[in-house]
Amino acid sequence: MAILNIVKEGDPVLRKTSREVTEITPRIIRLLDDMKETLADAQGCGLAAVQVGVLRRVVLVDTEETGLLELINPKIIAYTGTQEETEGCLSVPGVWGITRRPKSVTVKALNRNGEEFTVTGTDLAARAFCHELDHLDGTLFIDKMIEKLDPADFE
Amino acid sequence: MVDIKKNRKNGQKASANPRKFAADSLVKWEKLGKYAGLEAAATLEGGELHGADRGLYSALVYGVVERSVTLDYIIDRLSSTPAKKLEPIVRAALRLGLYQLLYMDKIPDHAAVSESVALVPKRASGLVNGVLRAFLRGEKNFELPPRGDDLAGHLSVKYSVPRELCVFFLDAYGEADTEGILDSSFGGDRLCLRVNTLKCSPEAAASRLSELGAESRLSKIVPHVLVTSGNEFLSGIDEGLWFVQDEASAAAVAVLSPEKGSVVLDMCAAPGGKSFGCAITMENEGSVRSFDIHENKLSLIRDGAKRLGIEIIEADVGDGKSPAEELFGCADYVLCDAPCSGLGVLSKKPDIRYKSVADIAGLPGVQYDILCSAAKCVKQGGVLMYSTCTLNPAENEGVFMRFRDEHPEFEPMPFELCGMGNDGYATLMPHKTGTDGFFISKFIRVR
Repeated sequence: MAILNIVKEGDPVLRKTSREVTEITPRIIRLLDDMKETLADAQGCGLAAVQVGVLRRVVLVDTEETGLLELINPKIIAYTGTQEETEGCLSVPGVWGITRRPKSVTVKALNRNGEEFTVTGTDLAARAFCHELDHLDGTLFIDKMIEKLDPADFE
Repeated sequence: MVDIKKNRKNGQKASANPRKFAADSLVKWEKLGKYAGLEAAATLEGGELHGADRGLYSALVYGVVERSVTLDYIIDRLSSTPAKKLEPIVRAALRLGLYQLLYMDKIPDHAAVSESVALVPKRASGLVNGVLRAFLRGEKNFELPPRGDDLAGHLSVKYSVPRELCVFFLDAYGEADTEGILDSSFGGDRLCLRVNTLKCSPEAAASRLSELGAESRLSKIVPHVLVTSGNEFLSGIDEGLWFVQDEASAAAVAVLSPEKGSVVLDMCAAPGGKSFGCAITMENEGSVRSFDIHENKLSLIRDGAKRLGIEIIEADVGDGKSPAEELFGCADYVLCDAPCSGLGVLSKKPDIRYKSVADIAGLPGVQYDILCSAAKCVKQGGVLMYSTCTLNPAENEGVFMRFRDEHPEFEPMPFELCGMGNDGYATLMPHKTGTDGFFISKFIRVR
């Protein structure tokens, strides 16, 4: 296992579309494990494979509501409501902004055993699902934010 | 993704923020209709606040609850969104900020502002900052509704009471007394202790208090009561030297003055102050039976009696409306301190000012029923006392007169208290007697 380098905004890889995982190989398992360690080290609540330079549709979400989730080939299958809350991104350090996201999001994905499952998250978890799934299509939260915040205000 | 809250929390783990706790408590207070006192007690119990932070937390919660009508009025003047329509956390942060700016001398203005801004999500920080800064720019002045145009509105904002309660008091007591009542409706530091004369004299109690570091003086209204302030008295409670009882309740017991060896029933007894007072007055000889409808409150009475060294109190569950038949005609003295609207203790319970006047309307009927039931327990020649801690003629004189008119077997019994009591009843007005607002009345069973 290893803590991977998180690529930062400006790196063109973040703008690329990630590919579906067709077979859960030992390399995917290794990727999941490394991403877990990287996420914990960075104290984030979500991480997409593309952020560690791997263009595969794999993300982690770690919130109080959902616990640590590994999502392979995730898809949003339902969402309701809206929320406008603060987001930040490990690939865009020091920038905080408000985005408009669904209040509640249901995602279908595969786990590391290749089994399909669905999970629903609200508030922070819903934001995290949307944020990470956007990464898989080359979208960053700064593309969507409706208000940029001044980091000095958080000190 | 990064969660801003997690990010912030990590930076602040070291010390719990009393303002944050106060804001949370205020939001809960509004949302759940919880008693502010209970909410505050639960938070303090949680143990995350220490030392001076506990004091600041309590002062903020009690203060904001007490002053929220005035604070919201100011918010309405300065904010484009009226206080009522703000998000609860934003409203709480603004109230807290304004409260500190207006009523707390020791907190620098810039701290009051920045701490409030830090309580709200980023999207509202501009609003909170703007309103508080505007208040400072105006040198903390705000114009009350003109007294001449709208007296109730004026008093409502000036003394932070809902308008309907102002109207209620104005109808009941007129302009001068209403203003007096409202002016004395804010929590002070004043605290009264009934000295346990079974264990020590008032003089000895006063010198013990001064050893503990608290000033005190003897009450001018009732014997055996010390008026003090601060928290130094607490250890004396454990030692059974005194218990907390306002001069007004102590006065009720003094007016009753049960004789040694007699039988006393206290129909709505919890937390037990009047029962204790009776037992002490009777020098621990005779019998005091203390009833309360709430089983869980009986331990307050039993524990209190034990601490005070009182052996003649027996605490039982009992519904004031239907006392057991075996009690009929058994008592020399019956105390009926019925559940009331509590408008006499505004300064002690910050929530009471927000009681709805409509809810109060049904109380006199309940009180009358309890009084009639209590009356059945009085033996011939025995004394019945009806008291409340409220200022509401319907609950006080109204119940007294109805009982007098419908119970010829009872006659009002004159007494003397602060120049009142000739007709068998007295209303203690906080601005006149310096006590809680209280009603005391006394009957004797003549046949």
